[in-house]
Amino acid sequence: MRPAQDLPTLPATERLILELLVANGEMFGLQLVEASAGRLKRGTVYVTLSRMEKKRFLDSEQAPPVPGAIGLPRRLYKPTALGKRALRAWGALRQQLAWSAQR
Amino acid sequence: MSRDFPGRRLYEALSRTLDPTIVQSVVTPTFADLHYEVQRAGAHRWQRWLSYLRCYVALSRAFAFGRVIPEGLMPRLAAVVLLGVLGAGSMWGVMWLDIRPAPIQLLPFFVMAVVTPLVLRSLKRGRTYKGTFFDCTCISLFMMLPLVIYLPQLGRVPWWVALRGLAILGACIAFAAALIAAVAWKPSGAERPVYHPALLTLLTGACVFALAAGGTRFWFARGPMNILLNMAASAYSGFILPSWRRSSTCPLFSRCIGR
Repeated sequence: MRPAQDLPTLPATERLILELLVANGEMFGLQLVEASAGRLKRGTVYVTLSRMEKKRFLDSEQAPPVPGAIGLPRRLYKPTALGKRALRAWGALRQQLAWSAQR
Repeated sequence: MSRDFPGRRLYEALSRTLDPTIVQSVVTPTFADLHYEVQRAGAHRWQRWLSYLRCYVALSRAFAFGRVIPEGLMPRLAAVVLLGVLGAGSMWGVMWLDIRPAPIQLLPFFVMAVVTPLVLRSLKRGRTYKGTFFDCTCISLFMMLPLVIYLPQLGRVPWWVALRGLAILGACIAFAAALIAAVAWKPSGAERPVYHPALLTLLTGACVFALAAGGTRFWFARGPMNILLNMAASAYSGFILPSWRRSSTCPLFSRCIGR
């Protein structure tokens, strides 16, 4: 059976981001890097987040302006319903595979 | 948003050069993090510098590993840098070894004249006439670097002679780049002429080799100016034949002959 070509994939980095976002709600990119304990890098986290937005796993919006803040506004990232479902599906698959391997 | 902020010039430069979606999704959040950290650092100078450093490292990582540069441009940039370094290295090697026979002095240029169009042709994206001209000019300028460094060290050559040689070479490089671009540039669809590109490029290279090696060795004395003149002559003469054949599709030549 051929795998469906248009199904979005869920690599380990994207899974980690989804797990962090599902656990903590809305987060900034820098917060994700700090919370990942070195597994996410500052240089590539926004590239990954952008890719996940294209897959519709995530949604982002500009953070409300902070009085006295300088420069550009930061972006807040939150998981979409599709992202949560993809993570749940991955968790179920992992459990099933672990269960099959133990038999 | 305040008008002046840390890293504003770099941000504006990147905003002008990169794709707007990349700017919005990658560059802007990275700079927003920088601003947040700079503000958090307050009066601690070293912490501010550390924030800058982290931002620049993050951007470098994004460019190097994150595929931020559009597809097609990255292989082209890599190819231009690689070919340029290869050409400059071989030029330097020939000059450093002080190899006298003119054909061997010409060898790096001959090799690059053959290799460059083939490599540029093999890259599937970003093949426009202007793009190829720009790539060829960059590679030629890379190849000029050893000459620029090497020539002033030769006490025997007066500076105006070296300058004149470099000026001629610069002009020839621009001309040769236009001609190489005409050879390497591949129009799409029905406009594409029917010929074997590799064969034509080899033929061109052979013409370069024969004309420049024979002509310059006969007319000019040995020495660094010989190298310059060899390169200039080969650049000038070597690409006329294929460009003439391509004149119906090349914008440069179609304008020249009024088609």
